[in-house]
Amino acid sequence: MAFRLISLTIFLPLAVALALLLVRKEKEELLRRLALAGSLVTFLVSLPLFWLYRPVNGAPASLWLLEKPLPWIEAWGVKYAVGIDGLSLFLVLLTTFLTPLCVLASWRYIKERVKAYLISFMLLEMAMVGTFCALDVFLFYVFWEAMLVPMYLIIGVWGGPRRIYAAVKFFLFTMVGSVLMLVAILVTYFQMPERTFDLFAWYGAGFGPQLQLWCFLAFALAFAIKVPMFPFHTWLPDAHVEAPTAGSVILAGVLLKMGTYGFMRFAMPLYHEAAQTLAPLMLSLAVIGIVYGALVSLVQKDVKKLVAYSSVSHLGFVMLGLFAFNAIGASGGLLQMINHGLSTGALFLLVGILYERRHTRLIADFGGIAKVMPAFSAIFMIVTLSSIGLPGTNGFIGEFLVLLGAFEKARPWAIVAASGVILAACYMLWMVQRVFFGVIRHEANQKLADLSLREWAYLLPIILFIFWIGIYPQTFLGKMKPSVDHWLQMVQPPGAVRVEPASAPPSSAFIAPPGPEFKVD
Amino acid sequence: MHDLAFNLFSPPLLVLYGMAMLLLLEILYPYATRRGVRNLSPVLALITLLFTIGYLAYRWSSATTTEGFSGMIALDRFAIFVDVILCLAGAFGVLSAWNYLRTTGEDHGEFYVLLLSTVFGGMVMAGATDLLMIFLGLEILSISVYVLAGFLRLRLESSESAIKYFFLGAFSTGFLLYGIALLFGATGSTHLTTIGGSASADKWLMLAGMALLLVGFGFKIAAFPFHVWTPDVYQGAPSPVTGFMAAAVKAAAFAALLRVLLLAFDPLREQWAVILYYLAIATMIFGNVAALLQKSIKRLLAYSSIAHAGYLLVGVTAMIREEKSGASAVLFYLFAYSLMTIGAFAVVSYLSRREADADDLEGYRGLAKRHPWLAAALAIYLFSMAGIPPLIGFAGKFALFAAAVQAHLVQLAVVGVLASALSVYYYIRVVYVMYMDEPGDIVATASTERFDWPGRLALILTSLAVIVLGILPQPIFNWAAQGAEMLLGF
Repeated sequence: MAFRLISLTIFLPLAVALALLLVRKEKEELLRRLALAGSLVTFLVSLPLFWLYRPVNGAPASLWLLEKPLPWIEAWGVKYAVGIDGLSLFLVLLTTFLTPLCVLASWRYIKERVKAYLISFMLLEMAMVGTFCALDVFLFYVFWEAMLVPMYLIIGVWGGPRRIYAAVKFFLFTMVGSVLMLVAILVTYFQMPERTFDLFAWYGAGFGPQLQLWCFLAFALAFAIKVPMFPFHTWLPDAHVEAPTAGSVILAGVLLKMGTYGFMRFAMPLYHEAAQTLAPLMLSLAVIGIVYGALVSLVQKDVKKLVAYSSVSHLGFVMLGLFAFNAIGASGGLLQMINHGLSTGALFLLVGILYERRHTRLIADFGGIAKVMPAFSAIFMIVTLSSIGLPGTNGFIGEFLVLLGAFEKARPWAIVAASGVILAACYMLWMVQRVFFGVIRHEANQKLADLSLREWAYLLPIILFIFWIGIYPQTFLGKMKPSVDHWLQMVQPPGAVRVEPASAPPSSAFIAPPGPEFKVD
Repeated sequence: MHDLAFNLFSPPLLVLYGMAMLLLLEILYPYATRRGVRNLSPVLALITLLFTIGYLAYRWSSATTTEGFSGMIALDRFAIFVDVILCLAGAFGVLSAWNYLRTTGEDHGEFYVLLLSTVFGGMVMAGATDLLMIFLGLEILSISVYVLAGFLRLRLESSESAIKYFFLGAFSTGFLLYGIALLFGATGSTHLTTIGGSASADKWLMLAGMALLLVGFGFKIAAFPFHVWTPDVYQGAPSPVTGFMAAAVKAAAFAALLRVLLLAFDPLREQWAVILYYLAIATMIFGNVAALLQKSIKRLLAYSSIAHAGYLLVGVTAMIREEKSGASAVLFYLFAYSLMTIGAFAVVSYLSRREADADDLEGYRGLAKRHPWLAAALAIYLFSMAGIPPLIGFAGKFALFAAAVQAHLVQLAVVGVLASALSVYYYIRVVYVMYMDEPGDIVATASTERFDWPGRLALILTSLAVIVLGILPQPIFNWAAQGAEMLLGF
């Protein structure tokens, strides 16, 4: 029984969106319930992937969970090819996990045009999951670009006062990077001996140094804008501040990961020589991002903007881990992607809760909140500690692995980057101190309701994973490890020291077009 | 050479019959006397066009490169593909004009006669294998369009549009004719392949003739710097006419251009490719920059149509090394562009009132709340024009830029994609005006006098086609490739 579980995960949200389209727009409660149920079902459908994916070192077939490709646009050799491996598995699960939480978080916050909002959200989920699963470069590009439209609408229609500026800026920044990537895709495509966009075939072909350099730069620009890496980050604070809470959660939690994932899946393995050559540049930008993001966070007056800038810093860690070119750093970077999705997603949700009650996000408007909202404050504290990487929470594992990996391969950068951890503690804890402790200075803060049941419902699952990853990361790292090792072999130049040459299979084994044994059955 | 191959001329003749029928109807039963059957003219026009499409499809498998009427005309797959675009453009033009003409009080059967004669002229151009035939087709097409542009005779801007179009069009025809004359002087023939046989870059007469011909075509496709008429004409003409002519005139002119370049000027590839390379760059940049700050949606679409001519020229330039990829990409994009642009102008027509067209972008503020489906349709066309996947505009641009990269014109592709990233700004500006702004002083709403089912039908069909054929472009792309292949087989 060929069961297309991955495709089902991608296209279920589309089906939900179509179902929502048929409901009258006045029935807002029904629409919300339908979207929640739909996104929960999508999550449940995606969950078996975790168990179905059982990678074994040395068994190349087990590294991928692939669906049999379908012909799509034969004239160009485009196929509908999807699959997951250790790199994308948790990003897919993160997406399907965060979406129902986002629907819950927008329950009361979104009052206008609920129907259009929920449809946009479902389409966004489809595009995001598709981006992570696509193994055909054309298909990837289609999902990558298709994601722009719903996100543009979510920021632009349901956002804050400067929403239009933020939405247009978001769209244009991403678009400029993407179109150059399109040219690079075309250039690479015509270098291939046969007309195909099959990623496995692309992995197997070697490209000349000149082509690698230019194409890597074009891909890197597209992905660096998305990550965002310094100096392409300026769209991020605007988009985050103006987006509605759920929009920010998805933006920080998933969309930014599309950039780092793009580096891992496409830019680095395809053009690995250029990636090696330009590693110092990328490492420097990553470290500048870490320190710069942290310093700018330190002086923010708006909590949401502070969290937004902290993303620049956190994503810098991910990039540092990837460009360390070793197993520890890459696993750390990959795990940090998930961690950031959980912690920063949760922070945006929490800031959203405050905003719904007080309609302000300025630090100066708060103070002493812990007295009136004890449960909320406790949760906020936990998430803060996870975000700054306290041992026992997920953030620690990720940052520690990244720094460990970077220390081995890129010592000077690692030393500077480590200061980012300290700075993170400074800006986060200082913010927490000013918001939650001290005396209540504003009359309006005297009577704030603590967490409602609905809010508990979307916060607790995240807290669960914060501790799970923090205490027993092996559940996650174990699934990532074989793919990370395989990835390392692809990005390492020939002759370089291999991490586990004995246990890892020869990389040529993966190049062969996937046969029936790769199918999900 | 007395080959009266009516067989090869039959598709344009079908349209001509339909047109003659409509004309007779106007004479025998003047419009005023048949109040009860007002729909007769548009219905007959639609039937003619749809029947012709069916006939063209029937002729697809038996199409050859045989020329008829002493090498004047052919009915190859290239011509059939362009003919279908023209007929589709005509059919959607009929649908979006149907109600518009009643709303504006100018519901005359002559409109459909002129529309059919435009399609006829375009079809003659698409199949012409002789410069004189191209000229003939171009004149039939142009003169009909001049009249259509001025069809709302009581509206000042409509007449202005017609006059401007007429003068500049006549001027450009002059260039074209002069070019033909020089080419005849250089080679002693106006037959495309005969010219191609004796063409060489050493003959300055030949080069001058080619340059003049390119100027003439440049006017018709609205390439920079021959574009100046476009914004005024597009803005002043009745909206359904603008959409129709944007699609039909471009399709016919590009078809003739491709045929001339590949059949007559094949040995001069290096020369025309250089000219078109810079024309493409200038046109893409100018069109997109000028569209950035437009306050009138018709002017915005006019400048964007200039930019689209630039993208198409990228595909034409790619023919220097990759004839098949370039030509089939141009054909595919012409098809895609027709759907998008007719759709966009159909929205404008739908919203237009007796006094004026819904031209001011101000009026579109908050449109998503008043007309959610209409706003969604316009957003789809605009996102498609911007090249956002999975819409048909993306597939088209992908084909064009892929052809350019394949022909080692990577710089051209880079300029193209950056220009198209720039264009995103003004397309999404319209989207945010519709979705994110509150209504202002001017409010565009559709007239509620009568139910505009033809307009709706046009919108539904084009927007669905933009989505569905964007996701599954394979069949259209195959046909375009077969058309290009046959063009190269001459």
